[in-house]
Amino acid sequence: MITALVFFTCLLIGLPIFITLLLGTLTFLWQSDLTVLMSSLPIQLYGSLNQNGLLAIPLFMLVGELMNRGGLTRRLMNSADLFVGGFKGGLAYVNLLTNAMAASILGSATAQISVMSRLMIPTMVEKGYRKEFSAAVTIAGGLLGPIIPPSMLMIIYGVVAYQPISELFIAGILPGIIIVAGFAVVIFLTGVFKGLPKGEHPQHENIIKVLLDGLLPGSIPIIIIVCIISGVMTPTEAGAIASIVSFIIGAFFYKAIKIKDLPIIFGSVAVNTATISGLIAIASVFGWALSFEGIPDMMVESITGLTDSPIIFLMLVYLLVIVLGMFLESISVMIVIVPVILPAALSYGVDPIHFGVIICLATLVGLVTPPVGPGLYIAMSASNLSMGPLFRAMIPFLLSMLFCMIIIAFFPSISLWLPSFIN
Amino acid sequence: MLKIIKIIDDKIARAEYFVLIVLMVALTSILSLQVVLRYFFSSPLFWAEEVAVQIFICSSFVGISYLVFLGQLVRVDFIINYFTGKLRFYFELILVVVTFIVLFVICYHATEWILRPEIKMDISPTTGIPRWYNYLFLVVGFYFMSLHTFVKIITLRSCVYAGDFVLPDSNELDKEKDI
Repeated sequence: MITALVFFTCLLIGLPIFITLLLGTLTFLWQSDLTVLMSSLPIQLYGSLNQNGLLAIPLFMLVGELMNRGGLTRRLMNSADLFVGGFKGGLAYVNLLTNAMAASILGSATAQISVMSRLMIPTMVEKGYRKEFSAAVTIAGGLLGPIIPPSMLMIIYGVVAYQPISELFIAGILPGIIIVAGFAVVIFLTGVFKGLPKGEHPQHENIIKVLLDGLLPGSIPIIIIVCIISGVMTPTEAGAIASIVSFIIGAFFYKAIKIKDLPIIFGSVAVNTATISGLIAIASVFGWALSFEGIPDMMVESITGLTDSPIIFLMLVYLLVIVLGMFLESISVMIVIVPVILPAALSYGVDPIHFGVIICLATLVGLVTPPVGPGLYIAMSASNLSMGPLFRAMIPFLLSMLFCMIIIAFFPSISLWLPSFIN
Repeated sequence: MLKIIKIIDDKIARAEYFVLIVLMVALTSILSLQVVLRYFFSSPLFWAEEVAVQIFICSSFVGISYLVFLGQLVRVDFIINYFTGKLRFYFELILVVVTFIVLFVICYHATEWILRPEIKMDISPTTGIPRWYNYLFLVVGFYFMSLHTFVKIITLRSCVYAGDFVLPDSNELDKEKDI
């Protein structure tokens, strides 16, 4: 009780999550007369990061950073424009498709929303789209980042839950496509009922060049997925190859990355990686401390006592993670919740890979729901919109996302069909 | 005196940033080289993954310390953003003091841990090098986090004495880097 009080108070008053979790752990050990374990804290911190799977995080961040600096988003947007730009509300579809393609390179929702907001919102507003709708489409598209592989959230889930990251990556592909389709339906219905500007047929002088420009970065996710699905490489190795390829594309084909840019790129990757790895380390230690008092077992018992149905259990998981995600940072939610709830999921016969997809999807909703929705804040600052109108514009997309999440929970084969080919 | 401490703090942060870049270059180079050697020459480096993980851990703790310096550790700020002026200033001061106390406790336990004989004897199975040097990054990382936090406390304290309740910008180094 004291631990929970300290934890939530410190969290809400703005103490950094890293320090809040450390303080929560110290309080818990002190309260439970386990102070002897405090001397084991450093080795636990070290041990939680001593896992090969985590090496994929800096590598995929590097790929995203290299491609971003190489002018990836503008090129992807131009090639998406060729395919869907001519429809009614064409730029909204272009936004969505560009996001889906960028998702297969960037892997992080907040990074993607940050990059795409700067590009897409002003472009859409200029073409006559409402600012709220433009920002909402961009945020919704950004949510695809951690679903379509490579995904930082999947890597973290894989490490925390001891599941193969390659299967998790592949498991995200079909749910990602379903969610894209759901968002496209929302755009279509908005066009029908509220009206959206007419699309313009693309006027690119050199269609082949535009397509090639889009295909080059498009080759990176294909390399990653093919290498992983064929079992030729581990996700970490695929990340290493993808970073070499993206450097070659950015430096020699696009000529946008100079040698002098590299220190800034590596510095940015290191700092962003530290943000994630710090949370992984400290949240793992918090979970370790809780396990000494059997808190995870108690939670499993209380959850399993509520229902016998795996579907209702998954709905409860959605609810719990979404509510926690409204107040906590998404990665922390995942790291704290997965070791506690995964045993319960297994006891219901839920496949751990399918459960990974469920947890990732639920975590994403927290990214765009107030009061703590980093995705909302990023788009708010890029568009100068206040939270109310922006969140209202987001509601149709959120409802579509929730509908897709329920379908995915009901039909595990959506997540498990593609990974079955690896096996 | 405050100026000297701030200069030392800045220099340490610059060194951390430099170390982070070097570690990241080393990490990606080792892993890329490993893939090339494994798939094109069929002679992988047997130590590559373990060394890469050690580099990753080092960069994590150095990186967290650098984030503390920049004041960019992730936090939930929707309540604190409602406060302004003096109230916000004192609120931030309390948070920084709490952070320092927590880090100080961890530093104490980390020092005790790293001085244990069994930790000094721990040898890496692939490289044969003592792991002690790798563990040291964790301990030094926490000491630097404490130092950065301590400098924030004395900076805020000097603002209180000067009657200037405007939160100082802690990201000067970051701005320089962006330029």
